[in-house]
Amino acid sequence: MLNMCILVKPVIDPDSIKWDYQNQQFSYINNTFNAADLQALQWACEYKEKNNANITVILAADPNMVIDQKRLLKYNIDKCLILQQPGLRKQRGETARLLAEELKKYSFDVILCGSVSEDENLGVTPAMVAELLYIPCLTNIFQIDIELERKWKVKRSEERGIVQTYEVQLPILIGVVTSLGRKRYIPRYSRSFQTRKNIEVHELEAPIIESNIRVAKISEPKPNIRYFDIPEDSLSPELRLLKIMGLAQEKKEQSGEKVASKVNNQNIHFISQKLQKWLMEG
Amino acid sequence: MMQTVQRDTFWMISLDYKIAMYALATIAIGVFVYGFYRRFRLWRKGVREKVSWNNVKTNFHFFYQTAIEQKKIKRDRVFGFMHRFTSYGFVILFIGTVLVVIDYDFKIPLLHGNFYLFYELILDVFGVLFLIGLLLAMVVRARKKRTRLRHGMADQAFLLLLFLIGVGGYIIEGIRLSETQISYAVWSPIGYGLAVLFQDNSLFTLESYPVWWLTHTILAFILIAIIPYTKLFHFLTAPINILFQPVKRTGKVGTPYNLEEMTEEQRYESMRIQGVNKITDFTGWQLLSTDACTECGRCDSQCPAHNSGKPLAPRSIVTKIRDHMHEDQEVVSFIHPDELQSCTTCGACVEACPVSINHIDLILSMRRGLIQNLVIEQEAENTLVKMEDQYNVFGKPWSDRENWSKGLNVPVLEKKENNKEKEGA
Repeated sequence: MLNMCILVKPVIDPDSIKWDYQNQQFSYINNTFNAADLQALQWACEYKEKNNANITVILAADPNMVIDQKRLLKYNIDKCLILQQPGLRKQRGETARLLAEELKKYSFDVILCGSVSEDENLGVTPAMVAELLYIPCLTNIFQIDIELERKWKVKRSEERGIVQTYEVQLPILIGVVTSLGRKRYIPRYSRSFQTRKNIEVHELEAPIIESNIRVAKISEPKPNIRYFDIPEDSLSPELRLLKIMGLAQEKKEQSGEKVASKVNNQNIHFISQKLQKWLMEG
Repeated sequence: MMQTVQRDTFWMISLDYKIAMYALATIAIGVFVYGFYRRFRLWRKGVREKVSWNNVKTNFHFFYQTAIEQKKIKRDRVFGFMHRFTSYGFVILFIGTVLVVIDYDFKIPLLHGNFYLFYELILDVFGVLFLIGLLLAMVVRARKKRTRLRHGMADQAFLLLLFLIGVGGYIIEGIRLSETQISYAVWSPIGYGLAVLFQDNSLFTLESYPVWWLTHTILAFILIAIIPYTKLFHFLTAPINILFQPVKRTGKVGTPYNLEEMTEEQRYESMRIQGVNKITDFTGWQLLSTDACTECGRCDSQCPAHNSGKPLAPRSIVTKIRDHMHEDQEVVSFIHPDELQSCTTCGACVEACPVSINHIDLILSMRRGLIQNLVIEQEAENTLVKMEDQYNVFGKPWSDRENWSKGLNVPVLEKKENNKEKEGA
């Protein structure tokens, strides 16, 4: 029976999050887990169903980060460790070290996780964890075939449709992509009662060593301010409307001449003119 | 000398024949009881579902409409006559036989005087209706006009058996009246008519009477014995099902939970949401309802999924559960998920069913089981995943939820700081 460990990263759903320009903060914050990590977890649960395995999920997060445990309850996991490290939000590079230190306490046959996280898209943590544990690491894996219990065949896709197939010997860290399998619907009520008992929260107190890299500021993307011509009266209503709406002017909005990334008096003038025209049209 | 008006049970029947009858009766009743117990034991293996007195009270009116007035069966005019004649006849003849047992075996004198004359008249009239009904059924089946019916040999054999029992009763009555020449024979008009016909007929004489009597008895006991093993079991299970089944009327989709009554915690931890994975996951009443199936096919004929070529046949769902009840197998081993997923839950089958089987309740219970086992139609599964991730069936980002109101000046009642709480679609 294999001992499997799944590294799951709590993230804020990048699909839903929005920058609230009015209040200058993020809104629609939906706490979830990295999709590729959940795909790895789903794969492990499917493996467990067929071949029996012991599944441990490990998460490392800042205590300020909300972890929606309910989303994990439906998986058939034997243990779930939540490592809460103060200051981790500012020192994200430390995640791998935290995870590696925890992983050293156990002996896992395989460590599965997503290759990259949805929020930062760096893909650093899996490789760093493997390095710190002195085990091989393969990322971007989209297919895992079990040859023997400790001998697997994994596939990764490269550019231009090239597929690389590796024969790997456990232990190993495998980073997967979301196309590892179809995302299945797992009813929450099926296992949640049992799984809740298996969740342990470890509150770490040791401070994180200050790193040279830190998040300086989080801000909104600069908006593209579009300004358009004031329609002339001689134009047909259709063309006037198109001008007002800013349609059919440029195929590529970003490369259009009438796009500015900074607010200046000229832009404000044009926007006010546009609004006035629009109100008159109404 | 004035004749005493009373039933002469075992007229001209020797002790040997009497003993043979009681022996056969014991065997037949034993086989019947075993057959009933065999099914009862299986129903008991199902999940217990409490039937409240309120349910039964509510069912009384429904029972009158369905079992006595037979409104649903009447929709097919010929079959309506057929079934009412047969069922009313059968019930009256059965009550008549029970009264004989009370009168003779329990020594409680009932069948004498005017009551006996009235009894004879009623039994004769209903006996005729019984036979007419059976003839109608046999003709309808022989013509094979109704595509919903399964035209098996057994179906005709059951009808023939009932018909022979009915005719046998009249023959022995005719011989008895012919030989005794009793003055009140006219109270049995059919028997009296036969008695006139049987005069001087060598086939229907006093000597052949015991043979006719024994044949009638044996056929009746065969009927009793086979009831719990065939679809004739609906004689018993259909009224029970209609009267005692917890109320689940057409169009009302039963759920084993009420989300409104559950707390947020319970919704996540709702172990009460049970699906059916194997036979014993059904409730006892659901299992009993499948034994009430007469295989009439009204459900199939009304099912839009069945009629449009989908792999669903509501009758097959019911009969498959009934036929596999003793094995306690996984449901998916005999009912394909496609069958269950083809149901649109329109309720046409439930509306058509004359014995109050709730096909939708059965199908949805099994569908819940499929979902627990992750056997789910792919499109539906994708929808559920989207619902889980973004709380809408399209999988659109949750933050786009209010986009529709942009530019419409719709006032937002929600406080800004509360918008971290995800709203359902």
